[in-house]
This record gives sequence, C-alpha cells and structure tokens, in this order.
Amino acid sequence: MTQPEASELDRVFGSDALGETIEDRAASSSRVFVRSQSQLAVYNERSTGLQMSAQWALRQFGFSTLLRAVDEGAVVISASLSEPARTLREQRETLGLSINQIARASRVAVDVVREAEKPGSVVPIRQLRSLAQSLGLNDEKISVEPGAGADHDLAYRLRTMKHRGQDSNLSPSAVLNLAEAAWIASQQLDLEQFLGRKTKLSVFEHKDSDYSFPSWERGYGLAEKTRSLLGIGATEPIQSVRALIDDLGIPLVQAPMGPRFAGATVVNGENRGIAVNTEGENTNVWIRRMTLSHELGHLLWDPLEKLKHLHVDSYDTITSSRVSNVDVIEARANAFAISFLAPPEAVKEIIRSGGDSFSMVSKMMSVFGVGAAAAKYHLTNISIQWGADVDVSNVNSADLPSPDDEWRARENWTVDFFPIPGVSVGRRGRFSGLIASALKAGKISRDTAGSWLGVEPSEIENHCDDIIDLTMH
Amino acid sequence: MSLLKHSFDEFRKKYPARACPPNRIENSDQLRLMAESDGLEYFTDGPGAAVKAAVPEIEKGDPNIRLWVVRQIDVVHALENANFGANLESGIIKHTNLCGGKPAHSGGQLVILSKNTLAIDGGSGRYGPQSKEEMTALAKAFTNAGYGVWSYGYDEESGWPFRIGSRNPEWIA
Repeated sequence: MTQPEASELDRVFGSDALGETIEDRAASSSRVFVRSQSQLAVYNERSTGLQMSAQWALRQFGFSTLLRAVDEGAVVISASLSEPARTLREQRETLGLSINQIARASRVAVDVVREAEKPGSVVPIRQLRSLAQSLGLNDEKISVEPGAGADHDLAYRLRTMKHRGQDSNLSPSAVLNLAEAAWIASQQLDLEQFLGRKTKLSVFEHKDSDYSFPSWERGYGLAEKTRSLLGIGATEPIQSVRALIDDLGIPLVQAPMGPRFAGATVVNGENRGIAVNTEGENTNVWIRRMTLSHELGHLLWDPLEKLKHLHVDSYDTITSSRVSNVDVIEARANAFAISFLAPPEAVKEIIRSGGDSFSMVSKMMSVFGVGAAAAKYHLTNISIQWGADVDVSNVNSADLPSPDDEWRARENWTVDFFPIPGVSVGRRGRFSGLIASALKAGKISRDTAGSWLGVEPSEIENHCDDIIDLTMH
Repeated sequence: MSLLKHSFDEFRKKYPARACPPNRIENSDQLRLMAESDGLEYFTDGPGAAVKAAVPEIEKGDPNIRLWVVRQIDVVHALENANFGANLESGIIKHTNLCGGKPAHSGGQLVILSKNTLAIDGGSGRYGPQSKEEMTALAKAFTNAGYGVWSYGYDEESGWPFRIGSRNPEWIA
C-alpha cells in the first residue's frame, strides 16, 4: 500500500510511536490490539480476547485493517460466515480424525468443537487457536483466510500414507502429533523471519536427485558435503545433533508417537521440519541421533517429489541394515546418517589403531555417539570397502556401552530441563526459545506467547531468560 | 404515545446520550447532517406479529446495510452507500451524518429483512453499545417498538458489539 499520512500512523500506533515507516512505527508502538474469532479492535478495558502487539497485528492483518479497527471500533476479520467452520471440518475430515479425537488433542470440549464447525457460530478465540494448532492450521489465519494455510497434500498424506507398501495407516495420535509438528515447523520459521534471524539453510537450496547405485556412496558423499558446508571437521565427532539442527534453523519437534515410528520429515507448504519420536528405541539417545541424522539427510537433500509432503520412518528402516536396495531413498538417508555421525575416515582410523573388534565397536559408539547395530554394521562395511578384515559377529551388543549422562543431556537438554512442566514436549525446542525472545523484546504479546506454548502467559514471563538460555545456546 | 417513542424513551432513560469521541471525527464532512432528501429515514412503529424465520445469512459488505442512530427524540436510519456519501471527503456516510455529530444514545448497522423484521448490530465506533446488557436492551427496544429482531449481540472478546457479517444473529423473542 502507499505510505499512509502521518495522522493515520498516529491514529493506529499512537503519537508516541517513532519512525517514518509503518514497520518502524509498529515496532515502537505500545498500542495493543485484541481479536476474537471474527473481529479485531484496539484493546479496551471491556475486551477479554487475545491481545496482540501492534507489530504482530500489523504482520497479520495489514495497515488498512488496523486503521479501520481504530476508526470504527471493531472490524470484521473473518473471511465469510462459512469460516472458520468449513476449514476446520475439512481439515479434520482430511486427516481422518473424529470430533472426539481432535477435542482431546486440543484440550477443547467436544461441544465447542461441534460449535466451531457450524457456519455462522463463534467460539472463544483461544480455544479456536488450540484447534487450529492441533490440526496443523495457521492459528493466526484461522477464520481470516479460507483454508488457514492448510497444506492439503500433507493432510492427505497423513491420512492415507501406507508404510512401505503395506496397508498400515498412521494411528490417530501419530497423525495428530505430526499435524501439530507441521504447525510448529511453519510457525517457527515464521518467527525466525519475524525476528530477523537468518537460517543457514540457504546453502542447501539445491536438492540432490542422484540415487544411483550404490546408494551408500551417494549418502557418504552428501554427508561429507554437509560437514564441509557446515564447517565441521572431516573426522570431528558431532556433540549434539539436536543442537546442530537447531542452529541450522530447522524446526525440530520431539514428541511421543507410539512404539513403531522413529521419525518423520514433514513438508508443510514451503516449510520443512523434522519430527522425532521420544518413545520406543529413540529413548536411547545414540539411536535417536541416527534418527535425527537420517531425517536430516532427507530434509537437506531429498527433492520434494521424493518426500511427498510427509516421509515417515519406522525403527526398522533406521536401525537395521536390512533396507532394501530397491528403496534407494532410505538407503541413501541411512548411509548419510551413519557417515555424517561417524565419517569413514574416522572409522578407518579406529581400525588402523588396532585392537579387537569389541573395542573398535565400543570406541565408535562412545566417540561418535551411535547405537550398537549401526556401529557394527558401519564398521563391517568400512572394513570391507577398505580391504580390512574386521569381524563383529562375536560382539555381544549387551556388553557394549550405553550413552552416559553427558550424551543424554546434550540431546535431551531442552526436553528434560524445560522450566515449565505444562508445555508439551513437542514445543520445548528452539520454538519456545524464539517465542521467549519475541516476548522479551516486546514483539509479541503475553497472550500470543501463552497461546503458542499452551500455558499461562505469566509462567512464560517468569521463565523467559531460562527458556532462552536453554534453547538458544 | 407511539410504541416506538415509549420503547426508546425507556432506553434513553437508562442509557443517556453520549458525545461522539472527538478522535473519531476525521473531517468536517463527517458532521454534515443528512436530510430526508439525502436518504435519511425515520423509524415508526413496527407492524408487529413478526415470527421467527430462517436465520438470515448476511455477509459483511452487503449492499443493503444501513446505519441507524437513536437520537434524542427519534430513531433514524440511512443506507450506508447512500448517494449523499459519495460527495463527502470519506466517500461514505458515518453515524455522525445521521445526527450532525451531536450526542446520541446509540447507533449501529441494520438490514431491513421485511416490513416487520430487522437484523441489527451495534456496529458504530462513535455511538455503539458498550456492554452486552446495552446491546440486549437495544434489541428489546426495537422488539417493543413492534419489530421482529435478529440481533448480532455483543462480542465480549473484542469489547465491541458483533457486526453484521461476523456471525449469525440471534432471534430476540
């Protein structure tokens, strides 16, 4: 839009706000806006809705809407009488979820969900946002835009995906966790941009569609390239894959997803994120590091057509050597993961330094932080490729080391030590750090922060610095 | 005494006239008082006997939306897109044009659904109701004046009445 007149800027942001541009004025404005499901207004002593900072309100609604809200008292922001009912119902049905399931997941009463799906009805804004978040919808755009940023391809994949050719759809709880992970991924990337933080992902802009035989060579090559692009030494151990993913600015959601699935790469519109199960074999952080690295390989290098908006990996894909050669996408990601964590040159060095196979496997595990099965398989492969003769068949996995507290702390850090118990595990990563940073800088309201972390705003305010220290390194 | 006068006098007693907040007057054109020849209309007693029909689904921006104001002695309304507005600086009429910017007891928007049924909201930044009770009293005043009323009610979350297009209205018995 054209630059508004000074009097209009004063009306919207208050005469104490500074700057020439709309954005500058918004950033320095102390004005608070408030929204319900269908209306936006300047905060007043009567309003009980969701408060928003001027800067965040400007980002969501644009200047002309804020001006109308100021001049007219309140402005209708819902797209039509059909919204948000149509979007909520369509997304729930596309995901294959019942009203009871979505009510439980979003901690909203069943009656409220039914009401929200009725065109022309209104429900409390905070509950509406919870519903949107659980369904993987943009909670700022809900009711304002038909579809609310829904990625229909992702929703369809969540409902219909068959695992490795078998008819085994995801469980409703896995669908819900992955849908919420998609929301977190999108919101986190939006927050990074809002806070002016640049991710390091631009160096991985070009995907690699070379899956030619042998896949392990492709995976090794990409792992080496990734280390080089990230400035990690050729044989240097990676202390924390979680921290590395966070530093890259990749949304990472750790959440319980049942016993079977290890992790997933989720593509929500333009945004990619990683969801990792905190249950099952991943409770061993060395195995979780493999899962994280495997998904990192998918996320950094697989073209969209290979990921198809959602790529879910089970434990047998990641922790076993029996990935079919036909499944070149998985084979390449597995080779990427193990050689990213334990580079072949470093493994050769272990072989070169001698000792029995038990000590070699133990060293690989404790230096590079990989699980027993992956270490044995990798050691065997490297020794074959290198012409060495290392036999690990007699190495008993039960006698091998397990991750110590330091390893556990580095990978579990944000989950285990998060200062607000009420925040769900999936939201305890860098996402929470960005929210705390935005709140501390006055860029978002207490209400917005509370809505995103699902707790009382005062709890976040009381722990802002702790959350930032914990999650933003 | 007419039904309308009696009903709205009761309302006026409880909700005194309020001045338009000065910061809501953007230009002097907004204080120009409309006349009947400009499209201003006066409410009279409703014909009564309205029965509840299907919920009206009126979207924001509907061309039939009118502005209304409870003035000190009468209740007036005019089409929001009345030609009168085209020549004003804002390009559209405001509630102040219905009362010349003088104090008024209430204001909002409405759509005339039939000769005896109205859909009303309290959507006026200048004179709109400031509580759920006031919005309810207003809807009742129209009902007591002989109209069937669909009211949009009060949005406690925004602290303003719900406007036409923000939700479906409720029938006021």
